[in-house]
Amino acid sequence: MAALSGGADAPVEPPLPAAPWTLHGEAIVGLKIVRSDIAQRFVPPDVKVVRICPGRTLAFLYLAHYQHSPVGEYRELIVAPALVSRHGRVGFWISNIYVDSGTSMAAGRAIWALPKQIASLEWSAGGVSSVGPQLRVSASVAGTGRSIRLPFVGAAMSQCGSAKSWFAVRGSARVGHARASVEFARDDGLAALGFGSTTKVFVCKKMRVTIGRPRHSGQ
Amino acid sequence: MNAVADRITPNITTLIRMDHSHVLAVFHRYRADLLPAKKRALVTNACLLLEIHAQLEEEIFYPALRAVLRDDVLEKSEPEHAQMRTFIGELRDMAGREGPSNGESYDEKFFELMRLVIHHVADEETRLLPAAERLLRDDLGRLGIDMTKRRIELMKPHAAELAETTVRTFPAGAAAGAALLTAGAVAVGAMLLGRNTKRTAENRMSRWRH
Repeated sequence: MAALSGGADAPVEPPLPAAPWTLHGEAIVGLKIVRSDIAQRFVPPDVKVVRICPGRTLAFLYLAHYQHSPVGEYRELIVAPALVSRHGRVGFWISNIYVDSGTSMAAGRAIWALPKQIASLEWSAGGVSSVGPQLRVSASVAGTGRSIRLPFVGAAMSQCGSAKSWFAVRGSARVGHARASVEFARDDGLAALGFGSTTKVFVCKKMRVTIGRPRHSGQ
Repeated sequence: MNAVADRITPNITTLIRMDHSHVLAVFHRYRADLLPAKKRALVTNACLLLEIHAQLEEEIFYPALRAVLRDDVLEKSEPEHAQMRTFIGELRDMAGREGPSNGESYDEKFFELMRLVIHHVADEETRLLPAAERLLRDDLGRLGIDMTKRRIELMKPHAAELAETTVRTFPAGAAAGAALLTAGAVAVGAMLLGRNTKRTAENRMSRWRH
């Protein structure tokens, strides 16, 4: 058994490694100011959308390719339609999250209450695409400029079934600017957030990100 | 089932995804350093959930999908369920009344079951559920109702064991609620099912009288 390869005294490794997770790879991050009423469609009624200016909130799109993670290499696409608050905590609401690894999907749901779905994600130097039945998206990136190493911190909230969680994220990466053109299939509703047009994005190279232990509410 | 139950029952693909998430959450609670009695309770809980889920898929979901789709993932689903049942049987043999005496072998066997289930869930959610949503669009609601009805029948004999193992495995605060929810869901479901059965019998009688 691979799990016992470390010798007779080595502990058996569980298939779902416990949080926190540290991942290494690259990412494309797009931020967009969107109408709060549109964002609210993607957020449960008991979660309050935080307005950053009258009638507007902040959404983000995150595409990543992790070369190293506790479950091996995988790719990920996250849509967070709004900055939200609940029980005094603030974070991005993760409404849609797709990965191309079964173990990541299982761990995401079980540990962080993330509504992870499996999708086939193609990652190349020019962008990301998925043409599977679960997700149809195409993102092309051009014109990466100079980059500098920056730290980042954040928080996110999500819900999977009746379980809800809040968790912190921190890390660092070499961050540069680029322009990206993102297209979502019209029938999944994500296009309504307006990421469809050409957007300024941050390209993160040599990224190291730690996803903290979740605080759960509800089961 | 009556009109209320019809309205509140999710469609079959949503129910299957919910089942997957539920069992993955139980998996996540298992750690090698737990007390043997808690390990046994968690494994019993996960195995009951898996057995009921597998039987529901074999009786309701796979036949409906097989009528409209030929797919190698669909063909290997039942052999994977059979492998899963073998692991479950082995785990039951290894667990004593108060939990397994050989903790490491028990951990290894349960992790083996977890890997098989994770792989099976990933295959099903990548291929079968999207195919069902495309090809059985008009039948998903009815199949969800059939699955809910059958689940209640299958859970009924295990309601006490499910509630007890839930209490022993959930964190203290959530335990009472979760156990009540398990027992309550079976009771409410059985009531709805019973009302429907009674109504169907009354309809039959009234038709016969006229």
